[in-house]
Amino acid sequence: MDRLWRDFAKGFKIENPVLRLVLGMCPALAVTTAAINGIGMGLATTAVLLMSNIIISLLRNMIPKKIRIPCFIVIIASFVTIVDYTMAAFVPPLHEALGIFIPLIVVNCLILGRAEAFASRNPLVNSVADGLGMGLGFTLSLTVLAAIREILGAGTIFGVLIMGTSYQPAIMMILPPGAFLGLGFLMGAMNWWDERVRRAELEARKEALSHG
Amino acid sequence: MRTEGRRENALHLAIVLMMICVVSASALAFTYQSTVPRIEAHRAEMERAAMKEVLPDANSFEEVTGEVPRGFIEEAPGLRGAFRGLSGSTTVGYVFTVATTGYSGDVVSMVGIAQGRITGLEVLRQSETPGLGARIGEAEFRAQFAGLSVDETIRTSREGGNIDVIAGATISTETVLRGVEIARQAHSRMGEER
Amino acid sequence: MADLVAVFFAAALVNNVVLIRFLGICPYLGVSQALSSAVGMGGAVIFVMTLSSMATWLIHNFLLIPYGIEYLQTVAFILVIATLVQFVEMVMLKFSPPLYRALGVFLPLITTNCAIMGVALLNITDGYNFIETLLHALGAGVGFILVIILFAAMRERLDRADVPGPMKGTPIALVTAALMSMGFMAFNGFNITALFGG
Repeated sequence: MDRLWRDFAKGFKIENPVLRLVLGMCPALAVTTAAINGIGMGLATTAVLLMSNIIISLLRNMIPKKIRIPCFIVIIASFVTIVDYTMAAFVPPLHEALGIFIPLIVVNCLILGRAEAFASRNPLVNSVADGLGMGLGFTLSLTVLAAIREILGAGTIFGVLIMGTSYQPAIMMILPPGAFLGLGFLMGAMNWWDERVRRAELEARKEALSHG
Repeated sequence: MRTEGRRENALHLAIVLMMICVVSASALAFTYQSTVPRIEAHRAEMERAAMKEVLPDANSFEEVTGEVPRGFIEEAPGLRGAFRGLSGSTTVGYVFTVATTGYSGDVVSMVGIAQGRITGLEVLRQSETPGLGARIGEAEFRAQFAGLSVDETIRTSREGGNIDVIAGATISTETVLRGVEIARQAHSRMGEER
Repeated sequence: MADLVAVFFAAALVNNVVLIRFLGICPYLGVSQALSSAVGMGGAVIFVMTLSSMATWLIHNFLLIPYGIEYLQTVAFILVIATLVQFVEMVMLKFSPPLYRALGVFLPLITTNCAIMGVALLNITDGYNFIETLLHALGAGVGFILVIILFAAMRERLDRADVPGPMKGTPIALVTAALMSMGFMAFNGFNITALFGG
C-alpha cells in the first residue's frame, strides 16, 4: 500500500513531469493561455497515459523486447486518436482550442517514457497508480501555469473577471513570450522553495544533534 | 537449426506486431463510427446557430447553388459560401461566409444582409493576437455593423465611415471590413441577377 | 512564386516552430548546451523534417483520403516518422559515415521530437499542396536550426553569468527564450507576400 502511494504521489513533486523532469514542455507552453485549456490538456494526457499504462502493463510479458518500441507507439497512438475523436464529439470548443496539440500527445516524451520505464516492468495496479500520479501532476503544473498566465494576461480565471475592470492586462503573458517567462519563473520559484525546505530540515537536524 | 529458430522468432515478432495493429485499427474504426455523426451534427448546429444570429428573421437556410455566386467565387476567392434565409417559403435575406487574411492567419466571418442593410456579423474563426486583434470577435465591435446600408463600401471612422478601429489592431479591423466588402459585392451581384 | 517564398519565410520566421508554435521545445532546451551539438541536432531536424513531411503528405493524400481512413492519421504518421528515422540512420551509416558521426546520435531523439510530427500535421490542417509542404517543412527546419544555434551561443555565455541560485539552469534558459520569442514576434504582421512582389 505504501509503495502504491509512493508510485502515485511522486508525480506531484519529486518527479513532477514538467517542473522536475522537464518533459512534455511543448503542450505545457503552447496551450496554457487559459486555465481551462491547461486542465483540458492535462486530463487528455492523463487519459492517454492511464490507458496506455494499463494495456502495456497487461501485455508486458507478451510483447517481445525487440519490437517493444513500435508496439508501444501503436498502442499510444491509438489511444490518442480515441481521445481526439471523443473530445471532438463531446467538448468541441476545447478540442478546437487545443488544436494539433491533441494528436501531438503521441510524441509527448512523458507517455513513451512511462511506458518504457515503468508500465513495461511493473504490475497493473502500480502502473495505474503511476499513470494517474504522473498524469495528474502534469495536469496540476499545466493548470497552475495557465492560471498565472490567464490572471496576468487577461485579468480572468476560467473566464471570470477577477482583477477588476481597472486592471490593464499584461497581454504579453498570453502571447508566446509569456509562456516561457511564466514557466521559467514558476520553475525558479519551485527551486527556491525546495531549497528553503531543505535548509530548514538541515537546521533542524543540526539542532537535534547539538542537543543530542 | 539456428537460422530456423531466428526465422521463427522473426515470424513471432511480425505476428505480435500485426495483432496489435489489427486490434488498434478496429478500435479506431469503432471510435470513428460512433463519434463522427455527433461531430458532424455539432458542426451543422454551430453553423445554423451562427446564421440565425446574423439573420434573426429567417428560420431556415438553404445554400445558394445557382450560377451567380459560383461565378462570383471565382472572382473573389474570399467568398466561402452564400445562403438564402427563409421564413416559411419567403426569402428574408442572405448570409455570406467570407474568409480574409488577417494579422496571423485567416479570419472567417459570416455576414447577414436583408433589405439593403447588414443584419449582423459573426466571427467564426480567427487567430488574431489575444487582447488586441482578437477583439474583432467581441460583441461591442460586431454590433457596429448592424443596420449599416450596403449601398456603398463600409469604412472605418478614420476614413469617414462608421466603424471604430480597435486600438492597436488596424490590420485586424481592416481584415473584417474586407470580408464585409466581399459579402456586400456578392449581395449586390445577386441583386442584379434577381 | 512569391507565395512559395512567403510559405518558406513564414515558417522560418513569422511562425517559428520553436518560439511561436512551441514545437520541438525538448531538443531546444536539451541539446543547446554546446554550439556543436546544436548544429548537429538542427541539421538532423531539417533533414528528417523535410523527408517526413513529404512522406506523410503523400500517405495522407494518396492512401488515407482515397480509402476514407483519415482516423488512422495519428497512427500512420508516427509510424512513418519512426520508420523513416530508422531508415535514414541505416542509410547514413552505410553510405556516409562522416555524416552519421555528425548527426547520428541525434537521430533516435528525433522520433519523439514533436516538431517533426507537428509540421507533418500542420501541412495537412493548413491545406498545403506538395510543393508548399516541401517549402513549409524546409522553412520550419531552417527556423529551428536558426533559433537553436542562437540559443546555444547565448547559453554558453549564460553559464559564466552570475545567475541567482534558484534560477540556474532551465529556469534562466526559459527566460532567455522568452526574450528571443519577443524578438521573433516582431516578424508578425509582416506581409511577406507583398515583400516579394506578390
